[in-house]
Amino acid sequence: MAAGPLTKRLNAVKKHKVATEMQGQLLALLPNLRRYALSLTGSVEDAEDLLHSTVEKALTKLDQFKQGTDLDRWLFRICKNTWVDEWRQRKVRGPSVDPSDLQYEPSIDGEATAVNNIELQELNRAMQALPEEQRTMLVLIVVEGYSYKEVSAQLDVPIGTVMSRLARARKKVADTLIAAAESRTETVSSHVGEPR
Amino acid sequence: MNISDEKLVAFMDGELSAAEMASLENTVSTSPELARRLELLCGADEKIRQGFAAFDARPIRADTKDLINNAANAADKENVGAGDNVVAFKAKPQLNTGATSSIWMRQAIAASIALVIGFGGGAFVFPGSGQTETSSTNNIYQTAGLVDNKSPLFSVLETSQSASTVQLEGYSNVSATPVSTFQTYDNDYCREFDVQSSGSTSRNIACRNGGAWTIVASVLHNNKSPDAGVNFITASDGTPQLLDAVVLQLIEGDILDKEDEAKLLSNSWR
Repeated sequence: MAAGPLTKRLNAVKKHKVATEMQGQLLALLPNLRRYALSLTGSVEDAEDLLHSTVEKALTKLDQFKQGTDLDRWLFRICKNTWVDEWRQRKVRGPSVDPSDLQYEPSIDGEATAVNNIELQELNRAMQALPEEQRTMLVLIVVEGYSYKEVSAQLDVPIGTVMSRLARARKKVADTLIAAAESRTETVSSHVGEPR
Repeated sequence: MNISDEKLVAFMDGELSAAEMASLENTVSTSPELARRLELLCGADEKIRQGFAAFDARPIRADTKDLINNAANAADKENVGAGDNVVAFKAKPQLNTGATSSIWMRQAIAASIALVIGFGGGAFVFPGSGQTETSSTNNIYQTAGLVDNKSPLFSVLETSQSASTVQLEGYSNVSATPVSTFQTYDNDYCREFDVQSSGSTSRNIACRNGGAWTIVASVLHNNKSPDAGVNFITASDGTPQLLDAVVLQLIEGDILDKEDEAKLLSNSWR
């Protein structure tokens, strides 16, 4: 039995081991990454495309990922950079899609579904109206559950900025949702008593 | 009391100090206006979470998942084709002696039990207690993982560089060749080495701890099966696969290069 190119063999095996482990971790992180993509793009279709491009890039850069560091942070960074590149290429500003783009499918029937869809559309409008950096902040903290410190490191901004952006974003969303709910109530009230 | 939105959201997220949290909690409980502001912000959070939960219900695009799965499959193929000794790691090593060998392997990785090694034709034993046996007709098995510090193999492991073949004194036509040296997660050092004898070869891993060498895994190549009841791993073509699994469980970093290995040997493993 010849000694053989052991180092080469082990490196290949280690590379494979990393790829196999990463496969599971990447698949598990896809929902988080897609939510982050949605927070960046504000559009479901764009989020799906961005997720795809991010995974594509991440797979070509696997050897650059340092084992022992946070894979989600690494992926989020690739996602953000990919979106910035995409944004530059499109050279567009403002909301990229119609609010009706978010076609959520809650498993409720009848009136509840209708109300729910309206509320989700209102939420979508509120989220669309936010600047991207506030929307991202909101998703990372409210949806993903990261701490201020983690988000500060992830986005490379001071904690004070995290707090102020987050406060402004939450306030805007809350105000927009209240205004929309009040508008709905008024519409219903104004229709009461009208002849059929 | 004028509480800023920043402070209120930090309160919601539990990002204030314990004292500030307690103080603000007390303030909220006595201020209906503050309680309402908090309620509205919490309500917005809830709506956001619901919205994203609904988004999560959409299936991930199949072509995105395929990217990941295809990459893993490609790594499989690359791994198999990387060299004549490369076998995919994914498959668990198949040990031909059933449950007993599996246990042996696990225990071996923990560097806690015995070596069993033997050769058809000539035979070779690593004495466990100063006893040396040889036989030209039968395999000799010994369930002792510790390499006798007076044995020629101990000397090879302790002092010989990788890729240098040393004839073992006192054994007919038996030689040993260190193959590689690496550090473990426990900061010990291990060596992979071959022992050749009359057309048969074993590939082994020994680890050094407290000045003693212990065999932690051994794979016999092209040899007949050992006697029934003996814990032994044989492999006709799966040697690298079996030992790779062990090495990968032990190794920290990479295989030492020639220079680092030479330094380590000349410094008596310090």
